[in-house]
Amino acid sequence: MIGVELALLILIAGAFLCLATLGRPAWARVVGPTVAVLGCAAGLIPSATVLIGAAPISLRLPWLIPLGSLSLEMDALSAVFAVPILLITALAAVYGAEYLRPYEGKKETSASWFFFNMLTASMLLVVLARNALLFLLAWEIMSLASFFLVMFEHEKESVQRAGWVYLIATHIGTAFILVLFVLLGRQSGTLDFVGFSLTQAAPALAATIFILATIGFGTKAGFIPVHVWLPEAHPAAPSHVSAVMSGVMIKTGVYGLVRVLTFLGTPPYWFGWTLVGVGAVSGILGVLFALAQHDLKRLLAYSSVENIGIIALGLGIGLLGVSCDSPIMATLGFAGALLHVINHAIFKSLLFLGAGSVLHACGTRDMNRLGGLLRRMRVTGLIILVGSAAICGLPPLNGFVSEFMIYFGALTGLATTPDGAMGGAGRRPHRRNGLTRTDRGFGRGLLHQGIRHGLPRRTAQRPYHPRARGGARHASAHGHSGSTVCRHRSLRSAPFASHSACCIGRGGHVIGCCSKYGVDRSRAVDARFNRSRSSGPGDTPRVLACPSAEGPECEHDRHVGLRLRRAIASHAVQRFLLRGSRHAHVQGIPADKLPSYAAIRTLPRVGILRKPHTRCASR
Amino acid sequence: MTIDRTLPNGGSIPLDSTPDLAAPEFRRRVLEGVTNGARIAALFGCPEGDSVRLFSILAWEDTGLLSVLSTTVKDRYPSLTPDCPQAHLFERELAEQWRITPEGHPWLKPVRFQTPMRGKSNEPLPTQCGVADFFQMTGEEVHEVAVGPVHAGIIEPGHFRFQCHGETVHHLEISLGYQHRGIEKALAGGPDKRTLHYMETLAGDTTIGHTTAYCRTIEALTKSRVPARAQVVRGIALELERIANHIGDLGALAGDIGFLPTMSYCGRIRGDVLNLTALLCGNRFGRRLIEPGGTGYDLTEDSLAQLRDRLKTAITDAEQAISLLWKTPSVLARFEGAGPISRKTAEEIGLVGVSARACGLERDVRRDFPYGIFQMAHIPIVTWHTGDVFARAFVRWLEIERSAMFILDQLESLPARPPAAPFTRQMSSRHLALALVEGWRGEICHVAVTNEAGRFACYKIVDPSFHNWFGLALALREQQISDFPLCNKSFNLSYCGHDL
Amino acid sequence: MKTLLLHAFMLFSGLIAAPFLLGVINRTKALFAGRKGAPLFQLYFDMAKLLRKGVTYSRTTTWIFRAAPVIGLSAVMTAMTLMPLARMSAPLSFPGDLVLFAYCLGLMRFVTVLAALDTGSSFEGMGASREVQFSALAEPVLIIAIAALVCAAGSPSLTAIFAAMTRATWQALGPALVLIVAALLVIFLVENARIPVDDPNTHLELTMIHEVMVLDYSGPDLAFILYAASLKLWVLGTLIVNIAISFLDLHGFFTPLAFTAGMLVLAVLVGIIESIMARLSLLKVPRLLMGALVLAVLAFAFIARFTS
Repeated sequence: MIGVELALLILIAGAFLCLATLGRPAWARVVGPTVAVLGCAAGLIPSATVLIGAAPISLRLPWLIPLGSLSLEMDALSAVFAVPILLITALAAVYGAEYLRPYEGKKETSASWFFFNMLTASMLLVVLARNALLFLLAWEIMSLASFFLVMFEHEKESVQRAGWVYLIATHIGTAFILVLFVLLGRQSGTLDFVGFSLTQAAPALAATIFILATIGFGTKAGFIPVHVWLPEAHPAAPSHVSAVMSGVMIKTGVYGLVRVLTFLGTPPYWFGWTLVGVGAVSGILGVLFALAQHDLKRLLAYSSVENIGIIALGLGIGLLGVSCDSPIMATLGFAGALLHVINHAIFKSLLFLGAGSVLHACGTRDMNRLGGLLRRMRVTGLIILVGSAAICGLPPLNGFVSEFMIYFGALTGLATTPDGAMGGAGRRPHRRNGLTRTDRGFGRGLLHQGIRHGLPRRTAQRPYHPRARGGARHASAHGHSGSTVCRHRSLRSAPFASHSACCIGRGGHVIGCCSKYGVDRSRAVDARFNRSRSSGPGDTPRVLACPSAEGPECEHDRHVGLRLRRAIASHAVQRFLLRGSRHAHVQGIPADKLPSYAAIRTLPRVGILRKPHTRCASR
Repeated sequence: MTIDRTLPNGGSIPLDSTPDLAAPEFRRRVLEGVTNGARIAALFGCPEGDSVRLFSILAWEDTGLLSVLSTTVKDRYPSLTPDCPQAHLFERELAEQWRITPEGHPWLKPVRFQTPMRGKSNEPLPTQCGVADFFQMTGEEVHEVAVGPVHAGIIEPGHFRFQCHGETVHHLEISLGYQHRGIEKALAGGPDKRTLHYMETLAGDTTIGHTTAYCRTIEALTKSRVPARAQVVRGIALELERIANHIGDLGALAGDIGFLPTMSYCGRIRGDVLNLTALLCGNRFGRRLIEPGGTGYDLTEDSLAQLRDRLKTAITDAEQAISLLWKTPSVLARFEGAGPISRKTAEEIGLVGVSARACGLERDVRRDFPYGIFQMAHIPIVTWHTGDVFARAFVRWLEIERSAMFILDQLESLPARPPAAPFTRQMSSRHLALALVEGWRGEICHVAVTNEAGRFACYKIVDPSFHNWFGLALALREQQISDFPLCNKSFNLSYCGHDL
Repeated sequence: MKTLLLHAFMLFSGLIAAPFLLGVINRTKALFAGRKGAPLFQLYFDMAKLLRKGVTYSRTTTWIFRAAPVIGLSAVMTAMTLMPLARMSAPLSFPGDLVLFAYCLGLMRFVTVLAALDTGSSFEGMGASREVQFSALAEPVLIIAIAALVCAAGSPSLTAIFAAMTRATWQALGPALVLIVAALLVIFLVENARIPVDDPNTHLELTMIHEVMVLDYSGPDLAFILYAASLKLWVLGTLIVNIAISFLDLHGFFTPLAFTAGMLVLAVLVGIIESIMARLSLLKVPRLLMGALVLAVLAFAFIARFTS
């Protein structure tokens, strides 16, 4: 445990050291990231060993606060979350050192580093805490630190708004969590996690706890419809902070949810279905909203909503697997979800950092004004492209592996039907435990680590075996076979949600990431626009039909093409799925830009040469 | 209402008999005419000293007469366009050709990017073809698509600018002029040996139409009469041209929507019909068939019988191929409602030909201003009311049927071969002659003004495409950009006929 | 050893025969249009010609443009290794391989779209946008149809699915399987850019979907793209024919025979559909896909109801 304590100590002490550098930005630039990297490195070693399979490390110290205990534990589930937290934060800190340089002197970067390190420490503490009070304390520090980080450019009105939305949303979430722990504490008589157990509790209480956890932690994680803060806050923050928030901080919500699930005992079916539903809705709507964005970072924020949806879907399938006694399904669902937590942390922070580089180089996040950047920012472009392909879940990248597990889990639920329903014996060579060699080899390590260790002891031991389930339930009126039929039937529609979410999600990513990679320096484009509009000497008509048209005209085309495909894609989505929820903001050219425009406006009187139809200017 | 100087289709009048009105009076009377149901068939300038004499030809469909108004303009005159949209392209042309400013015209963009025919060297020459201001929309997700002038298929060059939002086109601007060859300038001082070649190649697919109009202009100026048999042959050739092109268009329309059977059969049948023209004169497009004073070739008994039989076969084949279009729901789904133009719009912008008749306008030179054989044998006008691609396609098919019936009728009662009459080439001096012909696209208008020597002082050609290109631009409003090729084909306008 | 040889034979027969299917489709269309039509092996000639040619790259493109044809081809080849032919086991088979199958096709589309956007042309951007829009609607259909098959056969692996399907399956679930075949046929037409969704022969860049995305390719790159397209046609066709021939319940040598005949019938059927239908308006394509989605969902619901 020594490493983890050390990490916490370094981070907190270092955070205050950053405060000491107030007014000395050059010092802050060195101290802040160094502390973060050191702290993370110290924490990574024990986390990684636990993740690889070492025994959980725990620590319990007395604490002055009544009912509280300084109880920390690094078990496999904590490690699954701690590793990306530490890894991504360290990398983001290195990035942030350079990223914040232009702000030095104008902004208080020391304060920013203070909050950054506090955020890191509190996130680590959240996944380590084994006492409700400690957890809530860490949770609150995490919320406040990230709030101040979001408010970095607090003089901007949009940032202020984003910050306050975030603050309010996160505290509403915290209120639910508070109630949740109060209920748990009352039931168990302790506020230590180790004493929490609802296996004997009334179903109503378990249901209440589950709903409170879904809403409370879902607010942090960004489930739709409690995602409202996410697309506001992530773009507003500096890019390395966005990367940390989107990549790992929202995962603490997932962590909290999974941790609470371990208290609950055998889940009824509707737990799983709720998460599947929430996941599917978040997945589909997240990507649809992402499609309609122009702001690069806002798009990524919505994509986080989508990926959190996929994670929730995995958890839901895992829960269903537990409920219907299908170990393969449960394993695949949970393993997929947890693996996706790690994967998403990696590629989403990569994309946010890449977006930061684009913003840094071009001065805009508006994708309508970006294009052709792959030629000018080769490395950034390549990396963003890889990240985009990964977030699309395309083989052979990591996103595919976790999504594969989740969908395979869902398909397994479909394939395991009772015998004799269709005639034709011996048709099913791969039933239930019939994993083939290939399959077992497929991501063996992750399955092993993510589930055997990653999943809390209780779930891993009990619900996988029918014997371990509540006896009352097993002996209930509908009997064994009846309940099986009923379960399987209800499982049938799981893949709808999951697959539509994934498919539409992928389509969205294609658009999104392509816009991401293809970016151009906007001012240059504008200059070209003006030049071609003035039709000066040497200007040629923009020949677009000629496939390999080259030269400056092509840059214009690239620009047009970019606007175009975004327009068409989002337009199509609006037309078919959102039906008129947004209107284009169409204006004529100001009269001084194009003299003849003023003239053509006089024509509506004759009704023919009328000004092209304009839509309402609302947005 | 003031009585203007009128003349029939194919008539001529002395120049001095058309009063030279003051510019405001000219404007008033043109507008009055348009308000009272006339249509501007041509509006053009003719150099006179250092000023330009403007002529406006108004076509009165109810009386079948054409009236001529004229005024002399030095630099500027009050524009007609604000009150009469159909004049907008004519006035842009005037501004470009003669450096006249129609005051109050909304946007005097170049039409053909040609060098002005009247020198004032201190003014800059027009820029490169296609380089101009275009109407632009701005706003979120609004984008511009530019197509051409180089296209992926073997078609004529033209530049199209679409202002789109998503897949919806809000505005289309068409910029032509890439085919400008300076024909009108080359014709001044004529006619000479080349003139007929020019006419035959004005718009290659309308050889018969344009040569007929030209020959009738010459005949009006030379006051010669054309033998009845030649009139009939001219009529047959014109209708054969119509049938061939309409069949080709219907096939191309089918091709644009990926309906293969009609496309390939129509391609073949169009060739069959073109071969019938070749039967008349040895050339599939009818070159050298029509000459001033008559025809270059005559029908023999043998070719007459062949023509009759082969036409019947071709029409039967065409009916089989084309009726598939009207029977296939997926075809109708594409045709119906695509690129609609309302009757009112069509009237305002002065559409002609198939496009006008597809909007329900009964507008056909063969009936309104009958000439030649059409004075004796009428072809019923075909109209349709919807104004969309379907209407333009369906009107084409109905016209094919009517034209075929007309030809077969005429072949039954061909007048006897006349004795060869000498054709005098001496043309009246200081006269204005005009001829309208219903080409397969629509009204072709040729106007010749002769000088003292009896040569062309100017020769004005108005191809139907000149009236109709703007119709295509309007048809695309609020349509899908992917429907553009279909709409374009349903108009099938000529680039070189417009660019001259 | 025998299995290895069989798998190699299966793969190579697909790799070799795939372009022939396009020849059959085109010949059928030609017959309907009253033409003689191009030779059945025209695509092979075209590819041989293109492979000998040089390449032209636009200066606006980057490495993505050059990499896309190769990645696309390898993605579709990977998909081929997962697809069993004629109810024999596929060269590569594991539970859940159908997810990889769908994602391989997704990868192919991803790189094609990316390369189209890389050219910076507004036409290719437009094509890419349409492709993504339609595939976002088409992919759920494919996956739900496959999920229904999983449900019917009780196994999440393509090989096992087709091995498990017999005439008894058809007798029990016939209507649902017919619906699945119909939905897959629509997907087959959409994914392979055939009429009534896209017109492979058109030259009108404003109306194209797939063709416009590969407008800038030349030489061997174009050959790869044509080849990848024909392999995609083959592999999706295999999916349909595998379902259809399971009705016949054949054994031994007859199965490959029926499979071959089935592929030819499918090609002729596509040719006929393309001949008797005009292309849909782009606005109506989503409706067609929604129709296919409804078919797939109905089939799924039917199977779920009758197998539980």
